[in-house]
This record gives sequence, structure tokens and C-alpha cells, in this order.
Amino acid sequence: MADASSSSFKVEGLDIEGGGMIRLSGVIDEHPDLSFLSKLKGRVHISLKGVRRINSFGVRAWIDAIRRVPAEANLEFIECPPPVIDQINMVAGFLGRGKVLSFFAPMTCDKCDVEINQLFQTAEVKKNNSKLPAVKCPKCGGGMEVDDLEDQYLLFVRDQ
Amino acid sequence: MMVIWDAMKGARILFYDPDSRVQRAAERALLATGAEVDVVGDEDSLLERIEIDGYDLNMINFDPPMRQNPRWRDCFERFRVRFPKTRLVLHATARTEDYLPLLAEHRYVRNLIAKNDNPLEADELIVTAEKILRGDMFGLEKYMLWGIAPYRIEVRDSRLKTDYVREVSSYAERLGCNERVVENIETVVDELVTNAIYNAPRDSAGKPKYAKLSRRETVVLGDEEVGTLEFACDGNFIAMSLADPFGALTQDTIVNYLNRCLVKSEQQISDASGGAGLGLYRVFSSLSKFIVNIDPGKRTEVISLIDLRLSMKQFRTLPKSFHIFIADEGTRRG
Repeated sequence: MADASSSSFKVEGLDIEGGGMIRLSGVIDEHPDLSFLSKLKGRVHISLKGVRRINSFGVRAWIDAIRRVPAEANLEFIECPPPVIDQINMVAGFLGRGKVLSFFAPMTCDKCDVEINQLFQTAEVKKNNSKLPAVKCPKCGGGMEVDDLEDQYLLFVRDQ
Repeated sequence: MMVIWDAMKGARILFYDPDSRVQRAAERALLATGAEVDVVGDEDSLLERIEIDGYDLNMINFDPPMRQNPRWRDCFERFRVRFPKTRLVLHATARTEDYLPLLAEHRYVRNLIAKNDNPLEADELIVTAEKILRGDMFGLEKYMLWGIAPYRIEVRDSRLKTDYVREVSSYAERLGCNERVVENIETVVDELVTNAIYNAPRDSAGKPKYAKLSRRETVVLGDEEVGTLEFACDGNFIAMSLADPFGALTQDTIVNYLNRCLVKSEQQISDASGGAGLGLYRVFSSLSKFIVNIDPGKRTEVISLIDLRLSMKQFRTLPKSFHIFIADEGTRRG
């Protein structure tokens, strides 16, 4: 997960125009160049794991850019962190024609206060009646709960 | 014996809540301000008291069934006309989605204290009553335990926004705040700083000076335009505020922007607001308490508080307090 020093936005990826994997990191605000989205082709996975946060201008820029993704591109978002999930749930059209394949949810253990960001596959959650599968605490082995309102956090799952 | 005159002496407060625990806690807190306090526990007594005499301040529980009863909205409208200087503070367990439209519909509702299953916190009752009745609005330290001195940064250069954000977020990290709280804090400071640099400044004719500029364009504020960012923590709350010397923000703008962003739709991203609408909503949704102090034409201060005692789940579940204080409206005693 991104740390505080990685505020500069980065796009890293191979074969952008031919599909493949793109990694975004840093802060999406008024500065980043998101024009790469209009050049996507084929099946593309975009990892948002490194995205630290998105401000309101970043949301506007993102929405404008995501609307320009060519119709023939097949866009799938992976490793979406909580700040991105919050935006997906709050802002209409954030995903464009894309969908979320995997995401992180903040999990907490009531017994030993451990907090982790756990990666989930959207398909597994959907199969589980749109509920998060059970997660065991890495420290005490007890059950962990999502540190959020589960129904609200998983709103995007039901919308997909 | 020397008697010291105090602004609160002679102030009259009417407090209503059907819960006797809340009544006792509130009476104690409000009497401590030096004001005269009448407490009622049922709607009929409340109506009787308001009809007989206007108070300086009515502090009223607005949970159901009262909230669903249209007669009370009619009553408040009538009282507003009959006693224009009597101020109204509501307290309720209402969720944001429930009370934001209420604020849009009834502009005299400016103060809402969030309530959960526990009796109201004395500090928010006292601070709210004192700010309204004394007319002394500004200052983040009013929301902190006594003795806490906020850190202060001048906000003037858009190129330094990352540094301003980093100052506050690194402070939060030193306090041991978790990742999501730090992210919330960064979101709040980012939006407040952008607002102070681009949206707040006015020219001599009162027109927005930089609002139409691309946010990629550098702005360096003049000495008379600089904003002041303050932040502090008292162990329970972390507080951030940004004050500008323009006082251009209005109640209508705040309430309209927040309501527009409440519903997931294309309206959330409005070109007309320059992005300010979504920014304000993002600030509001990241906080436990949202306070705006406005001296029209002179000063605006947005104060944001995050309750560090809450898990994110509790934070999402609990209602948020919302306050707008405007300097141009005198109180009954003014």
C-alpha cells in the first residue's frame, strides 16, 4: 500500500496500447496526466494498489478521462484500496465501462487490535451473497471484521 | 462583593428532550454557562413554552416522531417570524442523508448536534450555546480541551499544497492515527487549502478572483489574501481549520453543494462550482463535526473535527454534527 512519501503520481506499465497491466500510484489530484486512458486497447488490468487518495479535482479529471477509454478496450481494475473503493461507491461513473476484479478491505481483530488490508476477489464475494469471506487474524487466529459498514463498502459489488 | 458582568447572564435557553438522562446532562451543562435554563420533556410543554415567550436560544431534540410531524415545521416557521432573534439548535440521531435536505428546505436551521444513544456531550452544547449567545464565533481552540495550542501555517502558494498537507498528515501519524484516518485528514486539508487559494479570494468588486483558473495554474496569494491553516489534537479529537479573510462563503452555497453531492449522479461533478461542490462534500463526509463560521465580507473559517476514539465502522454509523454560525445576525439579546 502507498506510503505518505509517494504523493507523486506514477503510471507504470507494459504494452499500454496492446493491453496488459498498468500500475498507478500516488495521489490523483489536479496534476496527473490521465491521457493514457484514451489510448487503451484490448484487455487491460489497472492496479490501483499504489493510489494513496484522490481529491475532488482528481475525481473530475478521472471521470473525464475514463469516459474517453475506447469502447473496444476491456478495462478491469485490480487491487483497489479503500480510498478508491470509497470513490467508486460515492461518485457516479467512476469506473466508466470497467469493473473491479479485486479490492482491499480494511479488516480488524477485536481481540488483539490487529488491522490489515485484506485482498478479496469480487467474484468470490458475489458468490458469497455479496458478503466478505471469513478472514482469520494473522496474530491470534480469531475472526476478523471489516472496519467499515460492510453493506456500504460492498455497494459496488452489487452494482456490477 | 464584586459582581462581574458576564455576557451569558440573563440569557434564556429553552431545552427540550424526551429522555430524562439527556435533560439532566444538558441542564447541568447549560446552567454552567451562566444562562437561565428551562428544560421540558414533552412536545406539549415545549409548544406551550415557546408560545408564551421567546427565548434567546431554543435547543430542541428533532428525532422522530417530531421530525415526521409537519406541524413542527410549521411551528418553527411561525416562531421564526414572531421571534426573529431567537436562535434554534437541533439535536438528533438523524443520518446525514436525512438532515441535509432539511437544512436545504429550512434555512433557519443552521445548527445540528449529532446525537447517539449516549446523553449529549456537554462540551458541544456549551460551545454552541456560548458561540451563539456571546457572538464570539471564531477559533478552533473552542473545540479543544483547554490548554491545547494549535499549530499554525500561512497558506499562500498553490505550489506548496503538498507541503501543507504533509505537515498535518505527519502530525497525525506521530499521534498514531491509522492509515484511513490519515487519508481522511489529507483529504480534508487538500480540499480546504484548494478552497482557500482558488475559491475564497475576491477582487475589490467582490467577484471571485482565481476560481475559474485551472488548478494546475500557480497562484500565490498577496499578504492581504493569505489563509491560515490551524491544527491540533486533544487526545479525543483531531481538529483542522482554515480561515480566509474574505467571508464570501454563504449558507446557501454550503447546503446546496452538500445536497447536490448526496445522491450519486452526474450532478455531483458540476462545472459551475469549479469542483468546489464535491470538495466540500468530501470534507464533510470525512469528518465527525463540521463547523463553518462566517463574518460576511470579512472572514470565513471552516473547522473540521475527527473523533479519534471511533473505529471507521463507528464513524460511518454515527451521525455528524453540522454548524453554521453567521456574524451578521444579532441575537435577541444583541
